[in-house]
Amino acid sequence: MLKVLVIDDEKPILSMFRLFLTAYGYQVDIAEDGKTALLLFEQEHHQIVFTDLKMPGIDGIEVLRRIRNYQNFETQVIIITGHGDMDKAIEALDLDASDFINKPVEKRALESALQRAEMRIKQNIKTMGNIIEKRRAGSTLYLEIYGKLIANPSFSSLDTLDSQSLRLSSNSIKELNIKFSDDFSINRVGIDWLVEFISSIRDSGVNITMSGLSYNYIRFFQMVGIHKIAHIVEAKDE
Amino acid sequence: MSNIRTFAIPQLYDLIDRPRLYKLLNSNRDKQLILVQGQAAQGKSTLIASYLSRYVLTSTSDSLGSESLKIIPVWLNLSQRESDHTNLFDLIINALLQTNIVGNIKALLPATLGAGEDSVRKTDTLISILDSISTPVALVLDNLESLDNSASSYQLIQSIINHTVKLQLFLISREFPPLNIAKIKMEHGSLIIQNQDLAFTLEETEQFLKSHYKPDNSQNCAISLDVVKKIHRITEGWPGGVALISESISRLEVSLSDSKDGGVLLLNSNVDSMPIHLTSETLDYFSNEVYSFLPENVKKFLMRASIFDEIDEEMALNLCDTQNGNEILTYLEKRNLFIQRLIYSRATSKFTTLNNHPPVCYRFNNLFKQFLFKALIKSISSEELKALNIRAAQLFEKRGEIELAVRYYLDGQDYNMASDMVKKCATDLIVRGRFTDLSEWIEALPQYLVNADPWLIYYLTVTRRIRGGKRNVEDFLTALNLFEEIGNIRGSMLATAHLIEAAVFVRKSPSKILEWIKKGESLLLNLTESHYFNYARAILWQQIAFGYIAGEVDILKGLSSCKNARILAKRVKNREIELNASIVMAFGYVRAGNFTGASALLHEIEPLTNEDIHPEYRVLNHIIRVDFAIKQGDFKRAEDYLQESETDVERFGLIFLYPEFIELKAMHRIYTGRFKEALSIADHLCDFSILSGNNFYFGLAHHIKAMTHYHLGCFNSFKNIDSDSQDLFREAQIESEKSLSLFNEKGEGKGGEDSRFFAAKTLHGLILMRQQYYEDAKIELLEAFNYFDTGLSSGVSWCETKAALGLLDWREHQLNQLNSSKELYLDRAKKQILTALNRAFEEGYERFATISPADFSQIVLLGIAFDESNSLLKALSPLITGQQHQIAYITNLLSSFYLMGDLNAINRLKHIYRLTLPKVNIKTLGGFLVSINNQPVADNIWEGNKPKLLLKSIICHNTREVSKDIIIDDIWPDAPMKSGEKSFKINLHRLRKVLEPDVNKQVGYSYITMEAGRVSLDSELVTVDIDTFINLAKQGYESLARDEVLLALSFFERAAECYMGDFLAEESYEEWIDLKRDSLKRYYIEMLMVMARVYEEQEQPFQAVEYLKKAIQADPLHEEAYQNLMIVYADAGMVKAATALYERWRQIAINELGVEPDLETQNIYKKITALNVRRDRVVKF
Repeated sequence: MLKVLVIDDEKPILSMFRLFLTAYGYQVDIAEDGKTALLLFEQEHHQIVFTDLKMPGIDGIEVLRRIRNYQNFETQVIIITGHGDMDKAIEALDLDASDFINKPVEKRALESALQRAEMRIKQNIKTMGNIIEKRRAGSTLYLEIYGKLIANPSFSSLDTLDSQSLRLSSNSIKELNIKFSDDFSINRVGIDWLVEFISSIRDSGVNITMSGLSYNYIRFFQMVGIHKIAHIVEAKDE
Repeated sequence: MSNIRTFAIPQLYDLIDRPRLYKLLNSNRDKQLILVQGQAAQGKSTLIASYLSRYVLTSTSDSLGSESLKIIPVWLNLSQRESDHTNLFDLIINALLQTNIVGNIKALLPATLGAGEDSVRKTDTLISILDSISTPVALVLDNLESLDNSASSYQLIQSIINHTVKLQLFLISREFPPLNIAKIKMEHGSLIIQNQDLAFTLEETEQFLKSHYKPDNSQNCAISLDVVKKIHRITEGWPGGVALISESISRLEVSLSDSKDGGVLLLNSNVDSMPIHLTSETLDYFSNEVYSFLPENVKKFLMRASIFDEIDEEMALNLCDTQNGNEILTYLEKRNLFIQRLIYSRATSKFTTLNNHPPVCYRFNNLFKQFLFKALIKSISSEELKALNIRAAQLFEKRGEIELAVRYYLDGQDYNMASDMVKKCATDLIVRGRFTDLSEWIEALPQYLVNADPWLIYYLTVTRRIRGGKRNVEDFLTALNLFEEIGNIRGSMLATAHLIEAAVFVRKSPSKILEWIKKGESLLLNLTESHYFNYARAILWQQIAFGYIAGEVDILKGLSSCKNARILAKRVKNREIELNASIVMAFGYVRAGNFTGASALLHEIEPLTNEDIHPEYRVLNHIIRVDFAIKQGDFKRAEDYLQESETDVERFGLIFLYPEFIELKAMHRIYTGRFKEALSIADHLCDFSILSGNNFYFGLAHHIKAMTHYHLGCFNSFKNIDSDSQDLFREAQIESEKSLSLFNEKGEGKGGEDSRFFAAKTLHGLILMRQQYYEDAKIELLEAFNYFDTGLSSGVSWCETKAALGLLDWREHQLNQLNSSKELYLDRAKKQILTALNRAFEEGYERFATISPADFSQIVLLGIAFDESNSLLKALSPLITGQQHQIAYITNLLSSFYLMGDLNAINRLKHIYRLTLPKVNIKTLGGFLVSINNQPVADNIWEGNKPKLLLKSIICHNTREVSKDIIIDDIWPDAPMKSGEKSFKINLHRLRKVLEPDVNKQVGYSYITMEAGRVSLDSELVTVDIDTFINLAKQGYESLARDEVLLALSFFERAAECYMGDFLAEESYEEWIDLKRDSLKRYYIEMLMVMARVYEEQEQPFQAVEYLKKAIQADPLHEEAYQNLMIVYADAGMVKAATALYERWRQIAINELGVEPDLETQNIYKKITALNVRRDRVVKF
């Protein structure tokens, strides 16, 4: 049974999380502040941590930082973000937050975050490094993005691929299909690169479609405005 | 071996008598916890077994001098399997049941609607049972070290330690257990006996060796003290070591030689060669020492016996290939060598003995058992070991001990048979909640076997039914598919039942849950023979009901399924399913808002359960109690229940009850005026709704917001903040429309949430009425009423919707004063309101759920005005009493009824009006003070002293029907008649204005009335302290007459507290006041004298002195008080105080009255003086 820690300074939120996560079959601990949470974490080494960002005293970012310092990348830390917390959310992603969910938390968002966290735990994914694979079929270029997009990505194929080279070949490419793997995550630099990359391609008249994104990343990309540049395909439920 | 386990004290041979330790234990028998911790073979179990045998069985003449106590010993030998709290719980309960000290244990296995920690439930259940036992129990947990360090059982044990119960807990362990016993230690509630206590003293070592070492009875043998000392030194008093050395040396060559004491055994054995320090770690060495001397057949027997935890005669004979196994065991037992004898009670034994003796069973010392087992695996091949295990399994199977058969088939790797045995005992294990054993056994089977067998998948998934989460849905579905493939209907029914439950637990969507409900219904429908599979049918109906209700699919269908489940459960006499179905049904009623139905049902199933062990039952009961408490206006009690419910919902993971709890909490906040909190709770319910992906709760959240705005709007309109109110009503309307729309989405008319939908309509109608959208309001209210009129929901909704319709008709009547239909509206308003209020009164509703207090008060007032029988006046007036904010509305209402010329209604309203006025308190004793609503009236309000005097005159003449002539004569004695009358009128008016500045002209003055020239104070509105004083004193005298002395004194004391000084002392020149003042003072002093006498009779002289002093203080010339006080002083031995008092009184009498004290006083004085002289003499002699 996986151990989950939920940190939020609002007691009703904690009660609600505890009820749901217990029903889902997790062993749940709750903490109303960062200090208590870290003490609990030191004792129990929870595999999954949900933390609110804004809390008095030690806030969610600091909790994340200390967990990362405490034991590197083994715990899946999922950030709970409120409206207008975009900067903080990105800061959390820079600190290797595994995922994030928006308040008020939707059932799909919670389940998606849990599913991804469990998958990463099972596969022991360390959320480090990234790779992009490229394949072309006719006038469609397929890119698959794996791991954490944290900087100018490296490509598995021998061809170099950047916006410049794409632009050069864009005469023959009409569609760009980007598929994100299950272990995909991103940080601030990665977002900047991605936005610049797809913007420049879109400027060349190429239609861009994104798929494979988790429910939470779709919401996140919408907040960042990527959905205005690319068509994002949502996965079906159940 | 749980099915034949015994719980009696084991029969252990004492090494020696240990009076010092028995005394220690006996002097600590009040301690809740006795921990005996020490190394192996330290005599821990022997000590406690021996002590308990004596303690319990000896009579008053026993050697310890203790009385024979009724204490029931329960001895539990723990093994690693008891690490799981379920197994330990099971073991303790079985043991308690055997003792017959617990009566009817109701429903030990809790119904489970929640996903909370199971150990918490078990702990609560155990504590509840231990609380109920009639006779104290000594519960011994032996071999505690067998439990894993992180065992969940420790939580159970800790709870027994923490909870004060009629139980003494003995823990016997090699290791110090991971329990928190610091608190109990600090409170001196524990005794800890450790190695150093258990170790033999030198004397005990000598005593043991002398008594134990008797190689030949014909010889007069002895061991020299030097040898004893040496053995004591190297063993450090370790009893096991002493026993082993004794055994070891008895097998070595010994020689005898004479000594001066006669035949003394000199030990030539090489004691010097033994290890310097002998501890339990060297047990192997000595085990070998003992073992190696045994004959081969005995060795072989012991090795084979080591595969069993416990071994009996039949097992020895059949499995250990020896005819004399029993003799070997008896021999070892008598030599105290690594073995304990356990006696099974016939009642619990499933097998009979070979020779009809009571069945006997043995248990090896764990270390010795390990030693033997190591020897066994060295001596036989793994195939032989497997075969031995399989033979054991077959014997157990034959004996019907299926659980043991499972274990040994698994050890023998006969997985097919193990699987068969698992399936045979799985249901029993599930019923007893022993999920750990079941899951461990199934998981020990090869994966291919489990994957291919739907029963194994099903049972394994059931073991993690509560905490399995999403995986359970997948696994039950796999089992279901496999059952369907092989056409197993019973399996399909059970798997479907649990699939529905698992889907509800993980909050699957209602449509998904409905899909599996349909599957279950189809299975039930296609079952041709109705008498087949009653258990599976009952459980399937129960889970279908659970799916419909807790899965938010369709409450009415859920209730109907509950009925089916209950009928079937009763037929198959399965109380657990009956209870669970009933709880789900009660939950359905609560969801439907039918609290009355829920309450009746919970009351009906009370014999099946109790609140201590079923949190679901407890929370549902609490939720219903909250609802009732709120309807009765008892908000404090409601708050207490809410807090308890909140704890339980979270602790036991009762997610399905969470929204109900949240809704009631919000309602509580609305009714208690905590509107901000109510809104925040509604926001939280929105969050819950989003997280559970269920719009119904969203609707509920908007309903709460609408309620909050409507109630706050009504509250503000009372405070004349009308602009705010209208904004709030508009806000309420928006929220109300949202909630209706969301409830409607859920499916109006589908039966799911109808009562809530129509309750929301009632609210919507009320909000529209407040905004004067009367036509729209009527549509909403009528729709709601028509639904409630079908009887599908509780009466309170019917009443309040009917009443709201009446209020609406009244408003329309008011609006259509110039219209011909006004009479029709009036007539309808009258009928609807009276019908609603009469039913509410009959059914005991003091509040309505939706209508705001302001609207409710208006309905009540109209009801009182309309009710010609006057019955509602008495019944409902307490709801209005003291509510001053009603004054404006009553005034308006009076105007309406004046217009209608309904004098009876006007009189009833006037009566009610008076009840809403503030109360006036008049203080006359120790200073005059008038307070209105506890606020003193300032002096400048009075317009001179005459109005005050007028009031004082009324009071002087007993406040009722005082003739104005008497008053005029008191205040204006010399004035001519006309002038006196005029002054009286002017000052009466002034006085009335002081008391009632905003008089209602239609009602007139209420506090002071005048009829036929006689003036009265209204006794319901005005309280005068002298009335209170006299009433209390009278009650005191009445109680005294009935010989109720303490009650009398209590009344007198309260009366004395009232008398804070002389009556109207500030008016020293008014003779008409003097008379009253003197009369009251006499009455007061007389009462004080009576009090002093009564206290003296009660032999409480200090109280008597206190009241006599008060009497003297009130009248310094009261000679009788002096006399009595002198006597009380003298009786209390305070002769000097008595004589001093006499001297004081003498001076006062001479100075104030010019006379000597009375003769009687002087006689008292003389007697006291004589007494003093005699005392002095006695002292001198």
